[in-house]
Amino acid sequence: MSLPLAGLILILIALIGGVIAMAAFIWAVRTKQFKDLNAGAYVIFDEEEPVGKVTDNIFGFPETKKPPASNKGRGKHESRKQSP
Amino acid sequence: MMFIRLSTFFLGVLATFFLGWAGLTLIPGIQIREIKPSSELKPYTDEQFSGRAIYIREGCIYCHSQQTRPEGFGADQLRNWGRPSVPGDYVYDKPHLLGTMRTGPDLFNIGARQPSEDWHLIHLYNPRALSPGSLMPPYPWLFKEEDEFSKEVHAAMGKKVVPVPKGFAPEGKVIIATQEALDLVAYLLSLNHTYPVE
Amino acid sequence: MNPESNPLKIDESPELSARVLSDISVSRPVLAFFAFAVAWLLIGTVFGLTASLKFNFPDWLGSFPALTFGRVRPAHLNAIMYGWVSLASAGCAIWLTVRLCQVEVRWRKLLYASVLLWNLGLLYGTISILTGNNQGLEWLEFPRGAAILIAVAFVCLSLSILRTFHARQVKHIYVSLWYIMASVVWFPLLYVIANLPFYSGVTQAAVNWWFAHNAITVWFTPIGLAAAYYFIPKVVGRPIYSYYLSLLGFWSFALFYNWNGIHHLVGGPLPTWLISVSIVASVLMFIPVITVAINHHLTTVGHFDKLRYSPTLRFVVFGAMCYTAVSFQGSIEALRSFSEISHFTHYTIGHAHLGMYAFVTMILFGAIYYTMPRLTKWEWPYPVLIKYHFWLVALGIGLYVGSMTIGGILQGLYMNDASRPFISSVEVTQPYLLARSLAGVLILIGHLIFIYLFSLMILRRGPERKAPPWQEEAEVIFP
Repeated sequence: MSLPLAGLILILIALIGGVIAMAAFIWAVRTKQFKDLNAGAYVIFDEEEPVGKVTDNIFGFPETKKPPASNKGRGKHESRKQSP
Repeated sequence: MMFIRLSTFFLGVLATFFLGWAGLTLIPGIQIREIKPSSELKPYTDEQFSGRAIYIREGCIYCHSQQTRPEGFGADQLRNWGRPSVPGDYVYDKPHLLGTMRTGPDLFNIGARQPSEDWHLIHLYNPRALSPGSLMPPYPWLFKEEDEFSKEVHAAMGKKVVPVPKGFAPEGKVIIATQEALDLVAYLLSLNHTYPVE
Repeated sequence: MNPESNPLKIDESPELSARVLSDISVSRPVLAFFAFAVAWLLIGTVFGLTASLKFNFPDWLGSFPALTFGRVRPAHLNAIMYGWVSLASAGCAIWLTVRLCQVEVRWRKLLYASVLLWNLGLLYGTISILTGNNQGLEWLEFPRGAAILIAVAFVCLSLSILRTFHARQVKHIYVSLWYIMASVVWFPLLYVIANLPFYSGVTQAAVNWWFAHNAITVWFTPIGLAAAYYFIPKVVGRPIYSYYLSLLGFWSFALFYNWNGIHHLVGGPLPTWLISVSIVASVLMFIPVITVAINHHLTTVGHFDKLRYSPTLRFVVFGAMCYTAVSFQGSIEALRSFSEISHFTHYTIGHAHLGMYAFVTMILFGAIYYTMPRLTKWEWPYPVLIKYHFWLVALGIGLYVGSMTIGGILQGLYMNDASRPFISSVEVTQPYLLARSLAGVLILIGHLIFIYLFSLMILRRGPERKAPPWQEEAEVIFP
């Protein structure tokens, strides 16, 4: 296979890839997957280890304060309901 | 919905990976496959090939490259290390030994720069016997120490006596090169790519 | 909770959160991965220091074939990369997966199989290199048998992680999981493709460096980043600065980083366009690196006081800062004008250690300091020793990278100056190589302290310290 042909195929693959990526992006926006994205950042916290709680203080950090009031997104995006 | 989203995710993960693979290995591979061996490049002889295996075994690649850089990129041309290497110089190399370190000098044309078998044997036995300040390890296991007889006796027994300078070999002993050392030197001497290419 | 999702037969107790249950379910396999990782860390460090000392005393141990520089150096690289870093990353990835999926681990037996096969492969591979059976390709020195063992071990790990992910009980997939899921798909593919025996000549060089750099792209870096993305916000108790940016960071990382490898062959006998493509991709790495840097560092900003109290945060923040540093350095290093000097010199060795040690290894230390008490239900004894560990390795790696950077640049300048004999480029590096060995000693002492602490944790020995919150939860039987 000659180089121009290989280049052409590469450009073709890139174009197809680009179109697929673009389509996936438009689809993701249409299906509102970018709405409320920040909620994902809260899944690492739960009731026992809420926002504001320091979870590692081996060198003797004083007991942590209450979680800050500006705690948007918690609760509403409860990641997992405790089953009874 | 979640299924489609995850499929998209994994599709994207595979696509980015294989795009890089195609661009960096597949397409250059197709391009390079058409390259013919440089016209004066010879395949390795059995002896050189065994020597190459010793080169790999002892990890020479971790300090020596086998590629010469073009004019204006480093001092390879000014040091007379040979014309810039081309893909056609490497067609018989498996595994490739291009290397990424030059703790020691480039060896692409060492056979032309240093054509003496004795020099290479002494240098492998103890690099500091020939180049003071060198950090290269010695390779004494490629040699044998034997009681001193006359040169003729050793030659008659078909042994290669290495002319190690005084003070670098044990008193009253001579250093005999093993077949491994001779193979390795044969390989090093074969590293001579001074023929012209287009 | 239905019985299928409770394979450990732990008494149904509503007090135990999903987080604790998932920790318990992986404690044995993760401990196994960590314990072997720590063993390989010691082996790899000793090999590394031996290789370094050989530059200072070239005739030292000169008559032992197995201990010649050209064998000890690849043994060091492989013991650290496929031993310490890979095993510790695997443990870290399993633990993060179950935590972030909030389920018990699935296919646990595969994890035990994985750790067993992995160590067999490592043992066989390392002994092979030392006895002279080297495949001759950097980063792929292991003979085929060892490579197959490691590939199978990795597939076992991937299957267990993917199965656990499939069983997840969460609505949102946290950013760390994206990196881990991508990684466990990427690395087995990469390792198998690179080990295929079809290549020769310069094509093999391209495949070789595509692999070596991509091993960092698809395995070591994503796990390091996944850990930093979890531990920084988790320890500080504050969500990640910008989740939007992490999305951009992930996809630009996946797109650009896969193209970087061929900059290792700059100036070499390969098509120029190929090297240029890699250089462009290396510079484009600024995008994902800056997004990750913003996310990691701005999450920490305002919480620097917590570095005083949390060993995990100390190690992880140090690692995250070094990720920014090493990536910037890498992008600049890839440029032709700079690599003309730095290529072929010890500068690259300094860069590699800034990446694999100051970034990845430090984050893995942080991860181990966080996970161990939750796996063994035992708090780290002797906190002061943790501080010694941190300062010894932090100063050690600082000295290491500093001396290799300066020594490497001098080496490159002397090498490119044709009016100087080549040997001057060797002689000029000698004081820096001595400093490097000193750095290696500091790091080895730090590791010995770490190994001592780790052994105490595994054996649950040492003075019992005030119970941390996670110990006060209901007694559980370890599976």
